[in-house]
Amino acid sequence: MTLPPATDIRGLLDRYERPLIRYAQSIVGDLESARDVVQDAFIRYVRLTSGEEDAPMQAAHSSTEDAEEPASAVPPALNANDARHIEAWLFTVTRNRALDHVRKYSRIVAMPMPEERVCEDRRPDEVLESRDEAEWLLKLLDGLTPNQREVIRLKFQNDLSYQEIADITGLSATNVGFLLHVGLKKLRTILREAPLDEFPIRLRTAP
Amino acid sequence: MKTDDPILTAYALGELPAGERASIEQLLREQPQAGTEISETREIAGILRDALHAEPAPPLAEHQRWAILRMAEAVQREARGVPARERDVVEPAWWGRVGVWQTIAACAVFGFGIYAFSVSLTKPSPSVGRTLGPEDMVVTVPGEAVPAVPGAPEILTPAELQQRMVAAGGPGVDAGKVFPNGALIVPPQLAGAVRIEAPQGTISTTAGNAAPASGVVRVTRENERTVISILDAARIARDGIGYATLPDVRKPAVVGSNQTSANASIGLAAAKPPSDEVFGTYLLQRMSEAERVREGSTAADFSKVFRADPKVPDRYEMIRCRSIKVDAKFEGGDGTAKSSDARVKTISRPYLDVFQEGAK
Repeated sequence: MTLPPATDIRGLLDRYERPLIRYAQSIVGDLESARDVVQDAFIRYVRLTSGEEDAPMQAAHSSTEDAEEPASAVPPALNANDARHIEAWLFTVTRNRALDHVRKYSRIVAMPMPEERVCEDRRPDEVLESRDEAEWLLKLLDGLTPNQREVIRLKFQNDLSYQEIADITGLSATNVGFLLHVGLKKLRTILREAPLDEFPIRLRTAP
Repeated sequence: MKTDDPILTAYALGELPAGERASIEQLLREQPQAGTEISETREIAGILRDALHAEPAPPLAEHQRWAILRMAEAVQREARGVPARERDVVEPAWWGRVGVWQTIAACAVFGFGIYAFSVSLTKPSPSVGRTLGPEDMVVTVPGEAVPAVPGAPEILTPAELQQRMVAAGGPGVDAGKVFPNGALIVPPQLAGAVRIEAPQGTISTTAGNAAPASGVVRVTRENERTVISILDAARIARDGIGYATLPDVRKPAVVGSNQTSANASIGLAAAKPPSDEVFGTYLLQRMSEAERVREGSTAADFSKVFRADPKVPDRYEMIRCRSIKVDAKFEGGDGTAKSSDARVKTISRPYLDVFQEGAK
């Protein structure tokens, strides 16, 4: 396998670094760890496409940190000429590395950075006013299981298909569909039944 | 078909093939409630899509991106048989420039903290608790049959390392904690791959993410020995390998506390640290008089100091700076710099002097 030109690496970074960091952050919790994870995924991509790692599946799947548990999804074979393969590979490796990170550093309490901290200087009413619909909805996601949250993020944040999500997570496409179905249903129920002052979002569609 | 069926959700999200879509459309004609389900699913999907797309999506830090591009370029050059340039791919911002990082990283390594990789004593053995000395390792340069060939890495004991640091004008690090098993000093003139073998069962890699990932070293097991292969000594000397991801900075060893006999580290060090003058200038540029770090400072104070400087791009660099600047020992918490309740117990000279100088 030949290494794509550096300009292509740059293109990959332009296209995927932000979605991958956002995805990694949803797993590891803090931005800087997410950045580390994604940098590592790209470095592995470079090494793999350069032939420095000659066993794509193993190389992408393995952890250099001797994770105590195996990562949950085996990345697909990397075809550097196929953008969808690259995307799936990067997401899968990012996910595995993020899970490794969580396992490794779970005992360490992350210190939130200033921009990650909630500003407590505002009055409650100011806080309420400043939160828009998107923030409320993201808050709703906390009520879902981690699996449901993950497939919802992959589906609606990254516009991936059931099959692509299945490839990344190691779940079956049927299972992905089920998780999405249950997760969306739960969100709809919350929006229908929760007090308006608690979740000021309502579906326009009548039940 | 029930209206509470994942297949309706799949239909609403456009996931069904044509054949199955037709059957759902037939169902919609027969069961209007199914249509409501689908409409509601599409509405919540639209809201979610908007909300999740609006979520902040920050990029990599510039030096991280630079490191990836640089590595890709280096690999390409190697593939074409072209020697690596001193600087390639991109001209990063000031914090990504080679000279700056060389200075920072080399000093950090000598100071006590940027580890190329770490090895842990994972199970009790006769070696635990004693220094892993030269007699435990074999250094091999390809084409040479004997260790200790000119230009090979030096293996230093903690005492030797301490002497070397002091002689180089570096900080008075407690080498027994920071480099409990000594250090490998890699000379810049070293060419070609070098193997360093250590007895099996004595060391095993645990967090060797950074350096292996950057192609600088590789750690493998061969027969009864652990083999550390230095692949790019020139890069170690030039860059201090400081630009790669370094999970070790979160380990207690980095801040010099809670080091136990069960954990030990070997540092790959650049051969020449920067002068105190260069180093001190760098620090003073980043210190704020109002928020300088003192003994008793918390980890959060460290954040504030470095976050107060808009030129510091992210926490990654902050941690690096912390490693460089604050030769500090923490107490409380779990002893790591990330522990929110850890406090600085001591700050070693000459850095305290630098702080005081910066406050004038």
